[in-house]
Amino acid sequence: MAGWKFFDFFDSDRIPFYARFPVPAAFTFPADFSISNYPGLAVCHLLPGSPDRCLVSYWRDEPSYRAYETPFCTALALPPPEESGVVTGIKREKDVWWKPKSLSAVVLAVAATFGGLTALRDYFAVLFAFPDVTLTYGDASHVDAVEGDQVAIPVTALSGVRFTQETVRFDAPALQPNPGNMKPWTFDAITIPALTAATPQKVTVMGTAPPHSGKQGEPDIYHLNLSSTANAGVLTGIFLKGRATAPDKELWIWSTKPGLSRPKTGRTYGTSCEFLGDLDSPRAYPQGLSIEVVVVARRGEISALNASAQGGISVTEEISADGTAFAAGVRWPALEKFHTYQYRIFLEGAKPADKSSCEQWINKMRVAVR
Amino acid sequence: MSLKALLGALGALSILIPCFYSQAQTPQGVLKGTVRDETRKVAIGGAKVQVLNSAGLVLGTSRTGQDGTYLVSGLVVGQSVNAVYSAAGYAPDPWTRPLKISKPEIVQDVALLCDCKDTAYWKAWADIQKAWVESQNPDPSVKARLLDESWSALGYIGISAEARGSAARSLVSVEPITGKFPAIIGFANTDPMVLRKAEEQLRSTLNGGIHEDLPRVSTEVSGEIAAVEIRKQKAEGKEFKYSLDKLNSSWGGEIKKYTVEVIDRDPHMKSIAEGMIITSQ
Repeated sequence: MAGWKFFDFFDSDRIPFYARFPVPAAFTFPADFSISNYPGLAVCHLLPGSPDRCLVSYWRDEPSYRAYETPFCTALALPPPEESGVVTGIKREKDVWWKPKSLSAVVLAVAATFGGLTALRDYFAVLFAFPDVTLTYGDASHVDAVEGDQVAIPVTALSGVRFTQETVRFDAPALQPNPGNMKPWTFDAITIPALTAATPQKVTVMGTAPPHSGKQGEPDIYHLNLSSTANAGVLTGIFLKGRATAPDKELWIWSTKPGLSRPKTGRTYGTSCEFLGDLDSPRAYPQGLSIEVVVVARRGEISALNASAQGGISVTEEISADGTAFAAGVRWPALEKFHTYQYRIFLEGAKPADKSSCEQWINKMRVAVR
Repeated sequence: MSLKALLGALGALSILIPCFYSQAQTPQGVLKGTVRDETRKVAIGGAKVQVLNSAGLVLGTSRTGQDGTYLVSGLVVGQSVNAVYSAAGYAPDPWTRPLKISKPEIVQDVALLCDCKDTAYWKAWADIQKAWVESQNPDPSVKARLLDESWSALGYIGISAEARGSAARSLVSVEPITGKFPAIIGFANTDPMVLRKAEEQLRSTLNGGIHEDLPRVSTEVSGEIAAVEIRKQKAEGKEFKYSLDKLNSSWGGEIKKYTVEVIDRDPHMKSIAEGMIITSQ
């Protein structure tokens, strides 16, 4: 460290000056001598010699020496210098800032820097925090509702800002059909005045489930659009608004009545056509439910009709006396709420069946819940 | 004639004679007719016709053909039976007609009504009703009352609330004077979804369900829907008083009172409904 200070004394743009004085063997520095009394004096020391000794002094530059030569020599009772002159060819270490520092000092310095910054951040978060809000639903799956029902969906707001609180304002929520016009919904509270990182807060989105489109055999699917604006720091909050959008939430709207889809053509086998359809159950039917399939055609066009479903019991086929109307059915012993049940219809005609001939049967088919 | 042939002839006679005797004792009868949709003027193919005896035993079953005709054979002349008609998507479903097989061939033609919300269908129905009422009595107030009764009969035969809403709107547009009846105008002005919801919740209430968010419908609309559901429950053997108590506790005394008034008119509605359904006998 001493060497470091010594060389540091010399400015890079000045040329150090050297002067050597002969001194008697008994020479000692007076008690009141201090190099600080001679600005420009870097160091002076005795060199042992025999029989004489000498005192060597180093100055920042020649002007410094000239300015303080007289008081310096007087104070030490020195004769004129034996030799003096500028010093050239000084070898000094490069200014590599890390080298002279110990590892512990570096670690401490880094830690202190971080500590300082953290303290700044913590203490000044109230002023300078950036808004950071996340909106989540408790359950990632879709929400089922029967048309006309009052629906309440809880939303959780989480703050990512520490050491201060955020103010969250929700945009008007809306149901987005696909396609169709938005349907406005409401919140139980449109603002969370003080959201902190430690305590997530819940708000509830509420609304009436819109009417079912009447499309048979499937619920209508809506998307809940939910977003918010937040501000955090007192100062940053003036100009910085953080936007948050909740993940997509599907709302499945079911009809109040069990819905039957129009059957679709499945596979064809020889003279038989297979049709597939769905029964939607908007509520539980513990006592079960039946569907009836009726096909009316010209005499001889159909030879058999039957229906089946997984978990269902097929109802015996009935044929009109003239052989033009066929009826079959399926009975499910019990139906669960918000479930879709698939059924199959097999129709055997008189002619070889293909996709297009099977399609024509659909128009002559009546499927109804009984 | 050989002995073998003689024995064969005697054997055949021993089988045939009791048969002829039996037939002579219980003459065979058939029930036949057509099932049609008189509003669309089309036959209803695939409708189910069952004939039951007084104990509920099935004596014969048939399905109507493409032309709407049916035939139930194997009945006994002189027997009293119930003919039960049903077709998916139509009302009444089922409709039970007590009959006496008074002769070997009984013809019973039936007209069923579509339980659908199809506006064109109910417009045609309203036109038919208006024409019929005008042929009966040209007095405007009597005309309006008869049309109200025709519309009320839809409830008696179990047409769904949404379909009755369509019928009410058509009736008011065809004959605006019918708008003076609170039930008709109530149904006409209520959103179809709300009617469906009210029907579902009333059905649930009568089955013991509890609802906090009751749909906003008038007393008349609620009462008319409740009456339909209570009739269905009665047909299933449920106690009338139990249903009314449930209605009273959830929907209030006013709706219960109106429902009772509607059900009290049932004998009159029955005759009107039969006039709409039975087309020949």
